[in-house]
Amino acid sequence: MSEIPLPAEGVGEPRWLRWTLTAVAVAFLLVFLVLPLANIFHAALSEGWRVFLASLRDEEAAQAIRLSLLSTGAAVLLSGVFGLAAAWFLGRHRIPGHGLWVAVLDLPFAISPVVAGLMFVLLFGLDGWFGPWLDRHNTQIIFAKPGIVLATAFVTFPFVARELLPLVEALGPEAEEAARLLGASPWQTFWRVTLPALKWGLLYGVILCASRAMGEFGAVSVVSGHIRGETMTLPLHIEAVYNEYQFGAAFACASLLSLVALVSLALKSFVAWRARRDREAA
Amino acid sequence: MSIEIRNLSKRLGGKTILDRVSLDIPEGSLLALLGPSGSGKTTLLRIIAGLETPDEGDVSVRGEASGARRPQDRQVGFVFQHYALFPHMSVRENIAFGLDVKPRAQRPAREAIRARVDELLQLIQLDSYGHRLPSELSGGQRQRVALARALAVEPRVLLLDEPFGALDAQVRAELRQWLRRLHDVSKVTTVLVTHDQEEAMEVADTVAVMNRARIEQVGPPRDIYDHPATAFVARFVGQMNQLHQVAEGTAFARPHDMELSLDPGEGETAQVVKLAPAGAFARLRLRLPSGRELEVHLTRERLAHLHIVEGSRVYVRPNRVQVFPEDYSI
Repeated sequence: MSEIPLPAEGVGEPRWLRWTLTAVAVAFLLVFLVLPLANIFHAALSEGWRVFLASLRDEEAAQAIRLSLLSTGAAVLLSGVFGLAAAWFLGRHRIPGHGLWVAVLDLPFAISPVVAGLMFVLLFGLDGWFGPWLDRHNTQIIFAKPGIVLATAFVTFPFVARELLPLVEALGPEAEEAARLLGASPWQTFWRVTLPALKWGLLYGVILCASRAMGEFGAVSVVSGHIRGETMTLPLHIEAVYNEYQFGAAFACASLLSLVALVSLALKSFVAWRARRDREAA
Repeated sequence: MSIEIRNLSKRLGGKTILDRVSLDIPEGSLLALLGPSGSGKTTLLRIIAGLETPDEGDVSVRGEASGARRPQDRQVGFVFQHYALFPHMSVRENIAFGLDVKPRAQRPAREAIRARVDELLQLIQLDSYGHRLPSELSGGQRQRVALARALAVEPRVLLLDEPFGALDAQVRAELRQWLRRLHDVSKVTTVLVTHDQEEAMEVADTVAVMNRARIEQVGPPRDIYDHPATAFVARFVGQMNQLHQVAEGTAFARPHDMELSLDPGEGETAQVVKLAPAGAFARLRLRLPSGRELEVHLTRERLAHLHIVEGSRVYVRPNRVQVFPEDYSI
């Protein structure tokens, strides 16, 4: 530790206080974050590799993984497109009630996911507003995959929009105007000028959105109906097998979900670093 | 006539930005739109470009009404005050942009684009900077790239919105001389928006002075300076001393149109408050008994001849007076 220059005694906090605070912070991180996470992986492998792999290859687990990937992909696509459009629109046009619209973007964050799920049940459930009409057209949304996709997309909608809005405002309209006057069509302007300027922010938002979508439990739990082998996502599957005392299987799936979280965390840090580097160069 | 502007009006939120503005800009000329901020000059430029639409009136370029044309079809080159370069593209890519986005049928071959970019890089004296990013250039260099990018598509008119406004004084002065030489070579009809009267007077063939949503005077820089049409133009372009009231309005005189003498009776009594003898002219600040101050420019020979120092009592008289009706706008 001697190479690290420390401020002289008396300038900052006393040394004992600094060490105590550091120790408390490290202990907290260890006990509440690192140990439980490590324990997940430990518990997942406690019954051996064979059980671990078998629990992931299990028919129902595989279906849950597929559905989670599908709903995550759809949520990323929807909130990516929606977020880009919303951020561009709100960043470029001063519409009446601008602040209100920005606040509306945050609505999915403010509402409890369970309530979000119930909203969809009220809209698309058999007794809901559109339920009878949907039923006549042989379409099922609640207790089926479309409902899961909708619920996942809803709770992840704000990520991309919130990430991009300040970037759109910072970019300003001039580069786009310059492109238009140089003969570019609106479409060319979007692809060649607007999107490249927003790419890291978009990627960052997409990663946040994806990791949230993978782990989404509350809203999906309400609309899923928990039909084994059909409408179970990975988090729902984990809960179900855990409740059946299949701890090995539950932790194996949980470790997979944790791994996804760790990877997205690493990706997120990388993207944030690249974005900062680009911003500093600009 | 390259650009004809007829009765343009624009209002925004109850405020009149442009009030029935008409202007003719001859092919190949360089016109400066000069005015204080808020006078409507930038809006006028943006309407010519098609970035904004007027409430009334029309603009035609080379006889074609441009109202219906989309910005991308107007073939105007536009240079923004803050450059508006594409930050993720190299200098070369920025310059080539207008050629790259052309529909395939009209797009020059790759080699032709490269040659054109080379030519423009040479023109803006940034030959070896082609692969740099805009962020790696100075403000003056960025603005040259922005100009090259605008010229690459061979625009019918070149519109410059306070192009040197964000640069420091020396780079400004260099770039405006360079712009003038560039214009002499390229002969592209150019409209330059500026609030800097020195810039307008030095660079432009014709100056249009704008004030409060209207054009007050259009003419060669010399006419604008020597024969201002309104009190506003007289005061905005060059320095002007406000003298006494006469029946027709207020009398004004330029600082170099003032005569000083040491003989009583040769004009009004005044005291020299400040004397700055640097430069070709000596600049004197005089105070009249009424408290009003006057600016007087004398040749240095004349100053030496008069033996004046700060605090001297002198007699001042205008050689040439211009009278304008009362104008309460200032």
